[in-house]
Amino acid sequence: MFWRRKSRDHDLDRELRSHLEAEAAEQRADGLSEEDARYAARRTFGNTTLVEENVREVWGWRWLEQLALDLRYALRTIRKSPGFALTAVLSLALGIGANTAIFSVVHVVLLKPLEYRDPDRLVNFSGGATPVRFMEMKASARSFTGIGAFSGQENVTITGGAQPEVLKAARVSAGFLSILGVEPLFGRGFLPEEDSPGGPAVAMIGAELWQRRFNGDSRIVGKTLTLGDAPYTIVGVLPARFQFPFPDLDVWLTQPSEWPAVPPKSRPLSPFLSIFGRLKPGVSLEQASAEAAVIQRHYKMAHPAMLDAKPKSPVRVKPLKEALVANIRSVLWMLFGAVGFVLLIACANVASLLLARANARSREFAIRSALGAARSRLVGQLLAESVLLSFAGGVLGLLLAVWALRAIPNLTAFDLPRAGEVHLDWMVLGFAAVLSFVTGILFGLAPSLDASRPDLMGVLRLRSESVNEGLSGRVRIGFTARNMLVVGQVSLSIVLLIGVALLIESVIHLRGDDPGFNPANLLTMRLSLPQSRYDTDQKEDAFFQELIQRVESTPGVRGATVAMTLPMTGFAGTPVQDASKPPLRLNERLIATALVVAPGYFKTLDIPLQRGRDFSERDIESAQRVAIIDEGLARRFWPAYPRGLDPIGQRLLVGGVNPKPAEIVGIVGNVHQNLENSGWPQSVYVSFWQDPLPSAMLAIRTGGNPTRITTLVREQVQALDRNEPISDVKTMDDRIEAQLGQRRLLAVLLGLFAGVALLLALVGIYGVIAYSVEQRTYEMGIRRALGARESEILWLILGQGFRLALTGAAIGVIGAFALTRVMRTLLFHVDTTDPLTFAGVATLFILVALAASYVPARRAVRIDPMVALRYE
Amino acid sequence: MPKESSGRIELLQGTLDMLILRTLLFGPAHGHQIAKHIQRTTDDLLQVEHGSLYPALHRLERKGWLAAKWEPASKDQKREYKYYRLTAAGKKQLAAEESKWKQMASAIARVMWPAEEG
Repeated sequence: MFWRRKSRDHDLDRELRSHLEAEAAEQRADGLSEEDARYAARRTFGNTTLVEENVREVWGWRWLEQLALDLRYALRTIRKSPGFALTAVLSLALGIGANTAIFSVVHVVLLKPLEYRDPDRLVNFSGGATPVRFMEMKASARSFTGIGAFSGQENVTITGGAQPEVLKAARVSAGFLSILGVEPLFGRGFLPEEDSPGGPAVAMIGAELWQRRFNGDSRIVGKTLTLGDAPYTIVGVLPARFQFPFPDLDVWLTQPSEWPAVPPKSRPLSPFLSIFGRLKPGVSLEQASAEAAVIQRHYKMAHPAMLDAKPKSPVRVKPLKEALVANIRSVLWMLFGAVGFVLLIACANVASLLLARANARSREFAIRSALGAARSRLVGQLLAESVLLSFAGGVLGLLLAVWALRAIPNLTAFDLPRAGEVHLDWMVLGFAAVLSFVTGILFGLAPSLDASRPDLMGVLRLRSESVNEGLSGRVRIGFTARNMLVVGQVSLSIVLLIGVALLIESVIHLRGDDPGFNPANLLTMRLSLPQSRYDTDQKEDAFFQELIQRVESTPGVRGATVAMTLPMTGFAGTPVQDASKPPLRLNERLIATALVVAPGYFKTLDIPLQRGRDFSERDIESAQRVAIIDEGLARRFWPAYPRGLDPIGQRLLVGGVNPKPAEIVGIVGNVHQNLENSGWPQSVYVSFWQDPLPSAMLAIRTGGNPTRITTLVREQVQALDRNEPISDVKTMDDRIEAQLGQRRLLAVLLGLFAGVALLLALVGIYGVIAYSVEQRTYEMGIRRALGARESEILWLILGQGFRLALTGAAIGVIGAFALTRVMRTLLFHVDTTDPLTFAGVATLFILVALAASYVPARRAVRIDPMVALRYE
Repeated sequence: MPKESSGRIELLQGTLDMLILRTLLFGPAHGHQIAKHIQRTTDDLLQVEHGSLYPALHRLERKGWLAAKWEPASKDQKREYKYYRLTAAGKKQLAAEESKWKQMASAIARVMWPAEEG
């Protein structure tokens, strides 16, 4: 094709030349000299280039040719100003890269359907369910082809063979694979008899564990897996990246109602199950919800006392996908919004750079349009330039995104569901490409439309007119479009900065609140006694008592204790009532945080004992049941506390199954069980020796750095029982950090984006002011010559920057007012419209903006009137 | 771009094609001859813009109504010109355009000078 076009070009050229010669020959015949004849011929013929272009248009590939030409020309112009190109490409790469990276996460986590058969039919029931309610739902519901349940995540220790290892496990109903529509890699799923109490101990393992620990043994099915001393038969291997019900699981067990995190006695009464299912074809979510509500009513009538009989909100059936991403959705959308802002700001910056360049090139455009260039050609050429820039930015941005995507699985603080699926695919590449193109048009269109309308007279107009305007106070600050862009940049970055400030304040509040105990120098770990060897409460008690004694005698240890849970490691609730009052239904009693703790718990954790005594070694199973309450519970049941009736000696009904009254022996200060203190506001403590558990948290108060004694403690535990698995070893400070994690990470990421935005906006302000100073050099010269003082000039210029920043800040504050409400769930003790934050950020920004305009303002002050008046 | 020259008439849209085809009915001609012929026969009333002439020639060639060939000039054998020749399809097209033009001209005339038609 190309060679043919070349020959056609040649042909056309020859044709037009022959025409000119014929014309010239005619003119010569009329008596003109050789040279005059040639000029006359040219004159009558007109613009040959235009004729050629018009003819090429007839050929039909003019647009392609023009595109190639435009791109070549654009490349040449860009190469001539590498500084401009670098700034533009870098800021676009940042914007496009960040957007692509976040989009790839949003795409997988929020947009892409789950990788199961007919994922839209998979649903989840709202609220936790007791095993009883799950069984009733399963028996009565007709809207589903299958219903299953799963309990919370648990840690199991794999022993036997290689090094013991703590693995993540989950318990799911037997039918979970057929509900999801997933086939195991090897073997089979769970059978119904394996899901019933006392059924055979079986397990499924994940592909990753299968490869790592069993070298991908294809005859793995039927082999034994030892978890905490108990043998499980492996019945199947699940495919890689199978993430139900949690990400990164290694082991799947069945019998979800036997979740070990809840003491066996409490299991029938505790709503710890999540119910999921698959809708029958043709059944809508609303129909399924309606049926679930009916079944719930029957359940409530049959079991009025059950804790899940009267849920806070009605039982609803929701898409499973929504439930899996509930925690992260707002965070991801927020990040997506933030990077969108960054890209917009980057676009505005490049647009304003292009505007400045277009201004500098106005003569070029004026001349070209005088020579007959069509406006569409000028626009096309400028657009080619901006699209070229944006594609360069896009390619670089894609590299940035690839790099960022590698880091995403490490952002464990976000606990991203389906993080393993995040990778670069065609969808993401397409997004980056479209984004680059749209970006190029977005920042290129306004400047090119503007520049292609060159005002021939204006270019040649005398400066005096603009000087008059400046002197008379009708100040044109450079270029209106540029001002608007800067105001937009300022307002967008203000929104981001306010968001970041609110998050940082939340993190500070979270860290600053007194949790009610001393988290410093506290080492914590989980110990799980194998049921096979510790089959009685006495054996469990003996182990833990011996353990505490041994650990406390270790050098560097100030105190040690065991408990079912520690602050920051999770907590459970239990119904409580004053035993002196007539007994209420379980679900009408007060739900308080229930803590099962050994003696020394309050001393070890530094929780103040306000009244009475700590538990002691004598508070064993055969003795009178005792309880310690916190100040919150004391005030709740005896509002006059600390005056009035002394709660010490009063009796409480604690727990669900025919509780024996427990005598209150002590009152302690309130403790935050998690950072946000979002649990139940009252707590009741019972004695570990009266409620022994096979699994407990060990807490050790040390004199110095707690990590230093980890090995010593391990040795003590192993001296007591060689096979005793220790897991989840962390200092209390680390646990607190982990709880801060999501907010902190979000604050860091948003902070990063806001920082880039701020920088770009400042560059924008600087650019506009510097440009306007340059434009007004002559005017400044006159002012100086007429005796204006330096400070007057300085304030004149600073005033421009101030006005821009103020306008932008005002719009930004209004925007933030509307947008920060999406952050509500992430904020802590800070209002989404905290006036101090809003005002503080805006003020700070304006000050920084003034600093940015100071540099060009200084330049204006230093203008020498003599030089300025000769300027140009 | 409106011409200020008095006495010259802008060509109506689409009529240039017809005039070219009609000119070539006398025999093959090159671009310069075609332009000159139209100008001369209308006593310089119609000025053919070269910016329109050549695109029109190439367009008509593309449509198959004209054929082009480089040939030495009849007067000056040293010079070669690109001569356009009317094809059979071109002749048909000319007939069609002519009748269309006549219809339109008479229609316009009836609107403009109804009395004379009387």
